[in-house]
Amino acid sequence: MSAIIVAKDVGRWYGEVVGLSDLSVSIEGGVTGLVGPNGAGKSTFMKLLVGEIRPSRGALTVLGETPFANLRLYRRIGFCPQQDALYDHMRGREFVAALVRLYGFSAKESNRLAIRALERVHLEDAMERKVGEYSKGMRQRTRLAQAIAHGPELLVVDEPLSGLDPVARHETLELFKELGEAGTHVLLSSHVLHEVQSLTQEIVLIHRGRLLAQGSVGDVRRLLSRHPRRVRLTVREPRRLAEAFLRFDHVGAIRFHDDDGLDVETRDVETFFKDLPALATELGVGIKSLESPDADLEAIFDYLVG
Amino acid sequence: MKATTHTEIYRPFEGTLSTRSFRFLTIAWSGIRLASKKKLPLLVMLGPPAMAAIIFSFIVYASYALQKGEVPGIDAGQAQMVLALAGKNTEVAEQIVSFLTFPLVRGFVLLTVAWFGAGMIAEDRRLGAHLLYFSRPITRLDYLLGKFLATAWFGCLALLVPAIAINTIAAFSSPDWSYVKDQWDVILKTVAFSAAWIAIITALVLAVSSLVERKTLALAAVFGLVFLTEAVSNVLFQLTHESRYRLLSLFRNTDRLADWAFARKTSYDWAPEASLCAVSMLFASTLFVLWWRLRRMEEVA
Repeated sequence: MSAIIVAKDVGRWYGEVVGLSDLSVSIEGGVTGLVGPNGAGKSTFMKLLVGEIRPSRGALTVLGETPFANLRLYRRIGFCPQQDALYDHMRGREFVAALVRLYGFSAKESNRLAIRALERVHLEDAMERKVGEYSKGMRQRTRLAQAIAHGPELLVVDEPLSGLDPVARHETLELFKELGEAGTHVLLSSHVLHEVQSLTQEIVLIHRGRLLAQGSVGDVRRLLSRHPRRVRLTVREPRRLAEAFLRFDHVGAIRFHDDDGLDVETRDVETFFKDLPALATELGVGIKSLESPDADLEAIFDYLVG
Repeated sequence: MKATTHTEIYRPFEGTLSTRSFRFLTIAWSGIRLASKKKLPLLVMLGPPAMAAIIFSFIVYASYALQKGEVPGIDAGQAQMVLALAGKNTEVAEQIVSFLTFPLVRGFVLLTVAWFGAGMIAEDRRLGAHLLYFSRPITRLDYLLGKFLATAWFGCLALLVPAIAINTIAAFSSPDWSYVKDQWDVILKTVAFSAAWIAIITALVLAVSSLVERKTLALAAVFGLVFLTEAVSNVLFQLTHESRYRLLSLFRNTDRLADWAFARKTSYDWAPEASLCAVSMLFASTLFVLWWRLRRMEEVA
């Protein structure tokens, strides 16, 4: 699969403030999560992708074209910004249709596409109401509707899940899944890591305007093999099991918690999980529960940013 | 159909994509529709200029009727009143220029343009709506032209349309279309002067709008700017008795230009070129501010 987004040494400054710093990344099609804490440069990167701003340095291509001031490319991209960006006095349908018209569709066609997009985000019952009367979630879905109405090849969505209630959140994630399955490339940013993880395994981690890691969550995790991974066990006899763990070279630290809890840090998690059942049976310590709390994105992120 | 890879399905655009290059018209139309949603401000802003236009139209009509000696439904006393209203001057051009520079009309034109234009860029910046525009196939110039036309539209409703209405009354009332035949230049000058005045205040309002993030702030800034320069101009003139200070006043300059354009006797003692220069500088400055702010929008986005 060829890359749809290629950034090479892309930097962007706002005066003396660094938005992005020498970011080099290549993103392939499909659904990709852009992850990073607030102020990491996610929004700046997205604005660069959709041509809102131009890079201060470096080269960037989206769908094979340079984005800034590229009107032809704008037809192929849908952008849903983080900002509210809605006119309260307009009806939802009017608002979306007015924006769709800017792509060059006729008034009738724009209206049809706007209605279809609003139905897709489950706003069909509210589309004739004024946007000012919408809840935060409905406003977010209206923004999504304007981004998908013209059937873009690439959908760039900045923090799409913020402000949504759990039901709307689930529906929005389902919509992204549908779009991805239908062939639309989706790049969505979030600092709510588990939500990105529930949608896609492909992530790009950025921090302080730099690329931190890229790939599937598993790949990224494997890249981090030098970092110890924590495994939390609940056992009947934690001290006996801890004594046995100390014989393993890959175990770096052991910590007790509560009466029966044991946290083990290992540098070779695969070997650890391979050896654990036999060890537990041999000692008869009775493992009640086992989890790896730092296997999710949040932990990876914590590791990476220190 | 489900894709096994995401590049297998290309989703072509549906419908008809227009290739027309006047996309700013879509923005302008959308801006006009949005601003027209509230009917009360429209009524309040456009009412007084409309009433002034009716009065001036009546004067023009009565002037021609008096010339022809046909004043249906008006007795001699009322005819005298009409002449008194006309300032003892029944020249149509005089009436039109009086309408164009009538303080109430001028004030309401400024108010109308400021009211509808103050939020055009400021609110977009506050809401982040410009992000939606700029990720679509329009240029920043399209955006600016769209906002400019939407704002100027309301200025036209307040000034140009009434002025054209007065000219139309004059054309129909004049004997044997003499107004159109002999004074056609007045019609052209009316349109040109109105358009220029609307363009200047529209650019001023939009420039201020691009500098702030609230409509109310922009409104206050526009009126502050216009009336502060007016006040400073008057005070300096009163203190020094030097008429060059009156060039600071937008209203004085437009009065001077109106006198010059319509070949009317002027009460100002400076050359029209000086006023033309002052107004051009103001216009150029506003355009520069607009262009600079639009370019900077990418940084504040």
